[in-house]
Amino acid sequence: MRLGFVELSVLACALVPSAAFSQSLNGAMLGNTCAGCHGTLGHAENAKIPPLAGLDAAQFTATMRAYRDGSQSGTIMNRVARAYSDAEIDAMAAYFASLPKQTNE
Amino acid sequence: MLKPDRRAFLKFLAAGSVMSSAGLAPSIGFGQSSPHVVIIGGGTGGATAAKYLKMGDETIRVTVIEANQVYHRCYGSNEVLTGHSTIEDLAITYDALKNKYGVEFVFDTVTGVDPETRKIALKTGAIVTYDRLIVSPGIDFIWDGVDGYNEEVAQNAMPHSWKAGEQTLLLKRQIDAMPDNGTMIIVPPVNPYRCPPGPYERASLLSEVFQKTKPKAKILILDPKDGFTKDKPFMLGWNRLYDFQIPESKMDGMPEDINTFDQPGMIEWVARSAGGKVAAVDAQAMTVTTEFGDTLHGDVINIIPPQKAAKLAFDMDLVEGNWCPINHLTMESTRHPNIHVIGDSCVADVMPKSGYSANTQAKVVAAQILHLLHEEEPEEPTWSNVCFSRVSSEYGVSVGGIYRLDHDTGKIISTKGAGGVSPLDASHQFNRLEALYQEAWMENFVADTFG
Repeated sequence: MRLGFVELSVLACALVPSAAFSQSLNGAMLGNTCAGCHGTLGHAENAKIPPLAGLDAAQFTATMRAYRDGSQSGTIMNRVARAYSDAEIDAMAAYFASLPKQTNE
Repeated sequence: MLKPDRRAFLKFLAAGSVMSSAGLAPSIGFGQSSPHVVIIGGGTGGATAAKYLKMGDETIRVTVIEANQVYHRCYGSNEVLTGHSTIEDLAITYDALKNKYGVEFVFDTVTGVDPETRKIALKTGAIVTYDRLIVSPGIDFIWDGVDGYNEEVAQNAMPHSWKAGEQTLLLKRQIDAMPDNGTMIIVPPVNPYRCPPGPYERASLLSEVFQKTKPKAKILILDPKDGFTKDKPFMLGWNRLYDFQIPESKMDGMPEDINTFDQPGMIEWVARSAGGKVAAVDAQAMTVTTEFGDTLHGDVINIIPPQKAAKLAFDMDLVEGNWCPINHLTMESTRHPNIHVIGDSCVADVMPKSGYSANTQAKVVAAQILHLLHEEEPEEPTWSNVCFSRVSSEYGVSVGGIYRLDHDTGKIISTKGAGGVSPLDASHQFNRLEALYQEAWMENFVADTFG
């Protein structure tokens, strides 16, 4: 299993035009930074922090943008969301939407 | 110039080859066709790297070399001091990494690494070969700088309790035995050090316990710094919960409804500029003397010494100054090729030396090593840090950062306009939620790293 490192970077490149020196970030690279709180591959052991796997991409994007512009209040998520461009949020949304949803075992 | 013992560490094969040609040394990973990534150190950085390497490509071999069969995490160890957890609660085995992901473990101690031949010598005599090596050895302490203080004093009288283990239990016994009106002195280190909010969370959680068990007790923080991470959110919480008088220097941005106290409350914080730097200790008398010349008695004295990269990193010639310089795109050492350094021991610029930082550094190094092994270009990296601390069991504060590579300077930088600490005008509900999220974070973070 390669977890779509390659496929998603292609997708992210299509969404994010490459800057002069730094390249665009792929969805898995971005999504991995979320996993420390939201769980590996979007599966949370403790769901008080919401699992992100299989989340609808439009819903993810709308939530992140709302955290970013402050129209939705969270705790740390407002501070986190402000770090990301539209294209990066889209890449993360596509990545999490591609992961199999968490089932209650 | 390398010291002779360091040269021996790096060039062990001159002697070691005799042993292996005599057939005495078992050889691990020699002559295998699939690439072999070896990780030295099974802490937060090493464990995460192993897991994410195997998740990214299950066909490569990943071996962790680690001294101990059971790992004790540092995060959550302040709760052992308060009695909310036991040292057993901090214990983590490597079963999931072995059984779920197929990571191989060698429980042994590294006695030499030859970067030229990519061979590692182990105490038991085994030789391990690698294609890429990740080193995540953590920290060691700098014992000099304070008169009367040394490793022996730390082990017997004034524990640091900064690596979960024996000293955590010693400090707990001392705290439990402290008289009801006793004073505990906490001496945080200078920057940079592992877990920047740790000393202040320790003071917070112990205050919560002392309010119930020893309401006349004092916690005196003698700080060699004039500020610390999340200082204002911590101090606001202390003001609300522990009658802490906020110093004038930290007043900017505080809400209007803060309390004012004539007497110091349970926690007192002395900044360096106010005489907080400790210059000497007397382990017999249980006193500390500040650089301003004040001598203070503590019933419990918790000195957390300044820090540097672990000894292994020095032995491997990976250090400049106190820490390991790396190329931040690939986390590869600038001193030796094919050796990547992550976690507390590496130079990660603006990233704090936290478990979360080590975890995201591990994911970056895993992705980049897979690219390099597949003869692809490294990808654009990003890292993050999220840290929740508790001012009390029901009052949390947090700090976050999203980090990127500045290609002009090669440095890791914070994403502008994002991250930072919990706002000072946060609601009661906000701080309550951050305490809840701290608990959820602990569970999810341990699972992301070791599970």
